[in-house]
Amino acid sequence: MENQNVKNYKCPCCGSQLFFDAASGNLHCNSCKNDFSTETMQQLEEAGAAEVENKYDWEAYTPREFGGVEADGFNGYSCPSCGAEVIGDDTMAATICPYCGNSEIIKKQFEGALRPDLILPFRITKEQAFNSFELACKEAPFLPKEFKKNSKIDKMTGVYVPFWLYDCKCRANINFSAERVSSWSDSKYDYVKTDYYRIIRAGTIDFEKIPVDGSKKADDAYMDALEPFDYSAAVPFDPVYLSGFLADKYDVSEKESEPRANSRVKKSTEAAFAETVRGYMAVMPTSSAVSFSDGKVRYGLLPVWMLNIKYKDLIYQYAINGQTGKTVGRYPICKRRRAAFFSGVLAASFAVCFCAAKILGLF
Amino acid sequence: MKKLSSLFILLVFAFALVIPFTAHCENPPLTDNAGLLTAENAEHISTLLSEIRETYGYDVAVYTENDNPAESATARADELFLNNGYGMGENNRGLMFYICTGSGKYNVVSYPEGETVLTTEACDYIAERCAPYLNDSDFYNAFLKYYLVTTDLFEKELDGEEFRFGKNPPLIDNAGLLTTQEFVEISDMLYNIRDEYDIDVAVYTENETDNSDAQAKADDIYDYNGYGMGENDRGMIYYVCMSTRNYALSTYPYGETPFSNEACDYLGGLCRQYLSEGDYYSTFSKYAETAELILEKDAGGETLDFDSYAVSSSGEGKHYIALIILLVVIPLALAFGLTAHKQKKMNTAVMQTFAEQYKKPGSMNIEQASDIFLYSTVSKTRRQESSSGSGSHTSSSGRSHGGSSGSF
Repeated sequence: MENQNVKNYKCPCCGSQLFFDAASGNLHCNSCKNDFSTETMQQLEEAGAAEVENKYDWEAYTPREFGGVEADGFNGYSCPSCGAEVIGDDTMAATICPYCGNSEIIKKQFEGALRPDLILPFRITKEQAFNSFELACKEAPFLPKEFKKNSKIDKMTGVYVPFWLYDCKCRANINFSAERVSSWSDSKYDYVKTDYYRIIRAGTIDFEKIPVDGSKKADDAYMDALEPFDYSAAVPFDPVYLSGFLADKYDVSEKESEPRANSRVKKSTEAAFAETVRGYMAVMPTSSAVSFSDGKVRYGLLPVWMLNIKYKDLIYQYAINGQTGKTVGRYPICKRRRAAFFSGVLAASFAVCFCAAKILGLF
Repeated sequence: MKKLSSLFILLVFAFALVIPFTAHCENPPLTDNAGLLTAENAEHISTLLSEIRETYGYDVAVYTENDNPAESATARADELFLNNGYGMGENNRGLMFYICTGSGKYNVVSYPEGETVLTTEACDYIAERCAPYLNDSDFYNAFLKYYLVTTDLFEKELDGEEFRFGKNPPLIDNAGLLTTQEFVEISDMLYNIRDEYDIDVAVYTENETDNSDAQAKADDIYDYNGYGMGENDRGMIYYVCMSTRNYALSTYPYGETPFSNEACDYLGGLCRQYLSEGDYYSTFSKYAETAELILEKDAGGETLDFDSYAVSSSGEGKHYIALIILLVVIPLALAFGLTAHKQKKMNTAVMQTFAEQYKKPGSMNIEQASDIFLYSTVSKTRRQESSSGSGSHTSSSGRSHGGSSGSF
């Protein structure tokens, strides 16, 4: 007797086994009482077979060292206050630590720095960066008036922050559950009909130069918030671009930075595919399989102006995008100004609501 | 001459003494052989009934006993009144409230029949007003009511006002939704409406029904049980059935009362919230209050604006909640929300979750796009029934009614 494999289908709603109902010709679930056509179950099976596990395939990065001549022009600097390790060339005169504002950083031998693959040169000057900072301060609503007195342009430092830049080809297979709702009425009842769908989207999407900062000293939130950078201005690394600026050494490897890149790519891929699901009331992702291929990593230096301001015994750090002038940071809050704003809004809205209550005849 | 004048004065004095004596009743106004009252309550009721004698010259009496030797309560009341010296004035006029606890019967009869303002209709009315307390064996309050209603009728007579009696009690609570006190309070409200506006505003409740159509049932109760005041039987009835949880308002004649279909819709909606919560006292008191307000406005040539009145009358509790939301919750929410929104600008260092700007333009390629239909569900909810503004309907009696209905 020939053995035959019996195919069992599971209910897509509750997971129970489906049984063939000869009367209707459909597959029936005894648990949730739903019926499904065999074509539907075959489609679901085919879609399920295409699912793969999340797989992130990044190529290993081959680091490059500075050549002997190139290294001659650089010094290392160490900050005794925060422990930052940066490099600079001989043209650096007075040097301020870009991460804590300490002006007594120690010069030491240049060592341990990788040669970057590319660099984005500074596009804005220190004065322009400082103006951007001052403009940003005007937009901080609860900033204490005396705060800006402590901000000095000569405390601003230009630093190249090391970044790992990730390129990849992303393949995704994402399932969604979706609903469509319609309603109607007759003389006795109101009806609501809900149609349930399984949405499958699969395809590819490419990403390039997703930045993840390679420095523990550079706050990830600050570096993220400074984006976007204009990569069209990227050039192969040349030490001449470092002249007059500091450059941070990487201390977070590309392997350690990969999870961050993976997360951003996965979320963006899911969002991009979800945008293609239209015409439904509620769309929820139920499963997602994302894999990368052609994963490429490069090491680059991106320009950032850093400014540290001491106010009431706290250091407030600000980063300005060295290309666009975008300023990010955390500002101190003047509680008095915040309370005044709160009170003002409360009084104004109370007055409006009072008039509304009068008009409505509530009293 | 002196002797003649003295004799004249003596005769006048004697005559003055005799008249009050002949007008004075031989019997106490309250004879409680059945022992239905405590000594204190009996004394109080006696005092009140004596006041009626002195004020209005009517003998308004109460007689209770445990066994009735006569054939009927009326016969016994007649026998007692006529043979026991009740009555005042030339015609021996008076009113007897007779109760026999043995048979459970009572009667209110006036004498001489047909010769006083206390007609048979008035006697039925008095009995009707006392009935709720009698049903509850609250005899003190029953007799108190007897005193109050009778006094009210005598006052009307003195003021030359017309008596307006309906053919039915305005409140019939077969479903037993109200306590005795609540029943009396609401009854009094509805009686007052009848008296003041000569229109019937009635309530009828029951537990079971032989007609699931509440509107038709309300119409039939109104038509076949003699509801309505005046020549045209004007009025409105509020019908509630507990088994079907339906209610209906029926008005008659359609278009000739201040209770339009819009008014009925409004009343139905207003009362339904209390009905649904099981607060029957509030249901019917709101019904009576609002009906009276509609009549009061109509008497002044105005119409109640249901839209604005709804805001102030649909529960004082909801009114205060709306005020609190408008004057406290909304301003606070706005102040907190705007302050929080502004405060967000004080920290611009925010992690990026996505990599939208790093997508290679034009690189997205959808290789599979399947929208697979799984199954459908359909739910239905019953609609509220209402006959708002839809004109009149004809009852089984052939009369044209207005009204509204719904469920709770």
